[in-house]
Amino acid sequence: MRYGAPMRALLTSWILALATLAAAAPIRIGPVAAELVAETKSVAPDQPFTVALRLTLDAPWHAYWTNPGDSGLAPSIEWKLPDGFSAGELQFPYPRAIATPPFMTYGLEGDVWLLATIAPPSDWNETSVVLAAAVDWLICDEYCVPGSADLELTLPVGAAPAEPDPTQVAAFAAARARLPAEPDGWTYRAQRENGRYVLTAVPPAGFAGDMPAAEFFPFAENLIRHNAPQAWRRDGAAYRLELVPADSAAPLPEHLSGVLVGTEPWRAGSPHRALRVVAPFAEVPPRSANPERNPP
Amino acid sequence: MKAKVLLPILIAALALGAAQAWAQAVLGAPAPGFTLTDTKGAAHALADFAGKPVVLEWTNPDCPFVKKHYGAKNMQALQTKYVAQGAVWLSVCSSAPGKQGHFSADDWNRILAEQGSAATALLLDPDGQVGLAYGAKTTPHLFVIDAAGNLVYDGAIDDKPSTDSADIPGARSYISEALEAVLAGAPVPVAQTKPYGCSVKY
Repeated sequence: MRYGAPMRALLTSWILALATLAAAAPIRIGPVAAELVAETKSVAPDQPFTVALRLTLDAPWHAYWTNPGDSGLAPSIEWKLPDGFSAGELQFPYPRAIATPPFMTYGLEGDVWLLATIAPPSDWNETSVVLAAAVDWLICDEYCVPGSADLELTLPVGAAPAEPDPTQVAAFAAARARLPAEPDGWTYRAQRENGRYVLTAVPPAGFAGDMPAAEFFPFAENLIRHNAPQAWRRDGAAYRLELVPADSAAPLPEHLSGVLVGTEPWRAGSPHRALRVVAPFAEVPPRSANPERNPP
Repeated sequence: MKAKVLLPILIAALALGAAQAWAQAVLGAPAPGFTLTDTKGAAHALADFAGKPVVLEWTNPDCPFVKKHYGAKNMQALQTKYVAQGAVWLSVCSSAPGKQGHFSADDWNRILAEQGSAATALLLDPDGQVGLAYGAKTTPHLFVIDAAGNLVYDGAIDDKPSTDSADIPGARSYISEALEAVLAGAPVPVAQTKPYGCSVKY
């Protein structure tokens, strides 16, 4: 449908007014407040930008990471974008291991920022754009409550490059600091040894850090026994982490992939505590004829 | 000072004990035996059902994932269909006293009537021993035992982990596939999947 210019201006201002209201007030459902937050003040054609799905959870509730662990479910988003716009996958911060014996889940707590890159088309000639999304989540404490919300964010279209929203700079920096990093020079390998998976992380030459402990969170849900202790130690120049397979008789996967979260940042001057790990598996001959009889 | 050193050791020892009690059930092997009382006061031993396929369905009526399948009548339809074909369907509740999903037998009978449950029985496992022996992690979490008494399926009801009942029609029903195979005397196509749901409230 085509509107005349005055009508369009009226509609646009009306939509903008509504959207401003929506952006100013996150949708609160019980212990969760949900909203979309843009990193930039405006959008420019053909210039990808970042939007956060922000879930603010009251204590002691938690949502879940992509691999929720023994139970639970990660938040999901279904974008409703104008034709020509596309959205990347939600990028999750590293989780926290939440032990409720005999279970272990991988949770997200407090102020949760899930980032997505939105790519506008090159031929977007409107004065604004409405980004809408249907969002589902599950939060649990002693019990679980699902929630959903239809979120909307309207942004004006401006010149490239779009200016960052000064009120959100610190929040997006903090959100990025919680994403798994891929610093140069690290290499990873995995092997099965005496019924355990062993992840070896080799820091770059000149690495001055001394990580006291780290935890591994696999992307795949059925790879390791989530509630089993993980043994971390320095092994010469490298680090070594032993994990208990979910099924020690299972065929080896190609990779041991996930995030390796240190108790502190990996490098002075960098905020990142999580490394994104893709460790190819190499089968190592067992040390003895009966490896299963050798308790580790 | 000594107590500070001993406490972590004690915790580690307790954790080890828990790990040993956890999940003695092994796929393809005889399913762990048990005797539990149902909501009508009758005792049921797994051995009583020898010669018939048995489904164990961990449940908690206040869990949103359980509500998904009962609200849409999916669980009841599965119970009705496979009980009619000779299977035994045992719902099991391992919620501990004071935890979500723990109800008296009378309350359970009212809930089962409201749900229109078509299960053979609902077994009460308040101390969680049977749940722990099977390694029941979530509600729902389903196990299938074949007529010979071997555990042949351990996992999710279907392949759509969500609380949205609109996902049921398009889902791949692992429990149907397992039961169809067992009733036909064929191997179960997918014997193990990751169960989805709320944690069992041990």
